[in-house]
Amino acid sequence: MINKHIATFYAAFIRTWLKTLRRPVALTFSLFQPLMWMLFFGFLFHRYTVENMPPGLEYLDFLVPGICAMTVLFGASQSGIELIRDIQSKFLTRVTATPAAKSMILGGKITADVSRLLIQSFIVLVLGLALGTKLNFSFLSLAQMIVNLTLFGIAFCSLSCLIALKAKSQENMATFVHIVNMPILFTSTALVPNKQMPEWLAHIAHYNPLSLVVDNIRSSLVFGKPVCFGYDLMLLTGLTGGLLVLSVWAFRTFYLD
Amino acid sequence: MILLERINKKYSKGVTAIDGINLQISGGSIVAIIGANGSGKSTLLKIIAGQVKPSQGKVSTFGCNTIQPHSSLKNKTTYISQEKNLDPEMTGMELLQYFSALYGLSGKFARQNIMSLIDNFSMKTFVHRKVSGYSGGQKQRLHIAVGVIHNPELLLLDEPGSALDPEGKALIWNFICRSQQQGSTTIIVDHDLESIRQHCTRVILLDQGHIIADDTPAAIIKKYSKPLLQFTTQYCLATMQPLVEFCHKQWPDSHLSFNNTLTTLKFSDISEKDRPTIMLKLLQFFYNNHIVVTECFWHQPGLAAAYFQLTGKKADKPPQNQNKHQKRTKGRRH
Repeated sequence: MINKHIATFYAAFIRTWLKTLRRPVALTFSLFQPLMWMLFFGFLFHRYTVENMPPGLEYLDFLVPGICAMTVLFGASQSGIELIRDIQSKFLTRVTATPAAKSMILGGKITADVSRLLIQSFIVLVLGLALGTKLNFSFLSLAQMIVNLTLFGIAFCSLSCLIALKAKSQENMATFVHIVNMPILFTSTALVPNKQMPEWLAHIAHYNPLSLVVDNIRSSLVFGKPVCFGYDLMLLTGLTGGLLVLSVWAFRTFYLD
Repeated sequence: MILLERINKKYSKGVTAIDGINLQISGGSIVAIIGANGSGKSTLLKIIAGQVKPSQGKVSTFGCNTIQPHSSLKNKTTYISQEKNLDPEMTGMELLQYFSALYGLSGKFARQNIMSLIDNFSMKTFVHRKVSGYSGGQKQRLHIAVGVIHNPELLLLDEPGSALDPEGKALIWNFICRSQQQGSTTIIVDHDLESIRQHCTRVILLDQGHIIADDTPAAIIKKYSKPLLQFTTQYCLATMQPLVEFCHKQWPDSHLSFNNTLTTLKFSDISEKDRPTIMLKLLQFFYNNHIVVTECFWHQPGLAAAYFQLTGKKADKPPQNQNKHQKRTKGRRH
């Protein structure tokens, strides 16, 4: 039984990767987009002074963790588009007619998407280094980055799949992507620190999950102060778990729709 | 094995697709569901497959409720839809491997099973190419191969022959017959009445959501298609009044029609043992009237004729196994 679940998970994982690699344009663009953000924002706000930054650090150093998390946010929110294609071609109906565990199918797909997003984030990090960013690499800082981005990626891939399974159309999905992505990005600390925001925006940023992830990564990778895995991680794990359960529920009940 | 009790299906716009159908299908049979477009064939198949929920009634397959099928039921059945729902970005082999894994098949058995399907459906030449580059027939072969990858005991096929060339159709029917020999049951919706006559053990004819005939193909043909006595002469006999009068006198319920040199005498009902006598009487008439007959034979029309008889519909084209140049002529009633 466990072997069957592993085989299903692996098959879904491989299929998602195959399809990703067969769309080189989409793959390149998804990598190119955060790079553009990093270049434009990095150089546009080159003279912008971030308060309480340790000496020697500049805005680009502050920005890189935000762009890494943004890469995951933008990529994860597109995760459901593949499901929409499967729904519209009725491929998903065929998949759900098999006895395979739906949680494993969705799990395999989300894992493949998150693994791709992690690789893309590391490429962004490497490009940041090439642009002269000063980062504090340590086992703990990298582990913290991977854990935070993985949980955040799972959460938003799950949300995207949940919306896809309920919306069932490309138009609705595109609306969701635009409505969710931009407000989450601009009400977070990915581009600007909390203290330099208007008070009302700072409140929103405080509860924004993207801020949670970016602040954790920035603290360890830029400021060299790894945050202990405590309250923040529990919040993120709770959010991820909740969204994952909801997306599995949507996938399991999709058959009856 | 399959039991349908008082099944009704009404769609949201008030259209009744299935109206009070009771049906029992036993294992090891090949059952064809035929009928005009919109008669409810596909809906009935989808209800059996658990793809469509009936508005009323009870459906059970292998003793299980098909509305919320258990995984054991999913392992035993397959529903192959009209739509070729394949992923165009994957190759045929990748799709076979993917569905093999979803059905829990692994290792050497899975590999052998895939190779056997590639062989059975003659897919060797294209299985490693992306589906987006397949022809309609190639897609259909893969579509069916993916559907039967788990060797199901019950095959529900919705027009599997569409988009297939004669070779492809033969492959599908060979596969169905082989599956039957191994104990599988097939329920097929199709319009190829000649293949159905050859291969199916039972035919269910639907009309406006009702079953109007349910028997073996031979029994349906015998019961509903009228025997024809056909003869070819050197010239057209349409204007030969003595022949018309002779037939009218001998067989008042017969129907005479002409198509150039081919003359057809249609009987509403005639027993096997009367046929030689009828033929002899007619040949005697021709001999007496110095008419040269080059060919004379009895013809039992196929399932198509029975279909038209039962549904009350008229064919635009002549039924199969008849001269394609033959037209239905307005025959005189005797």
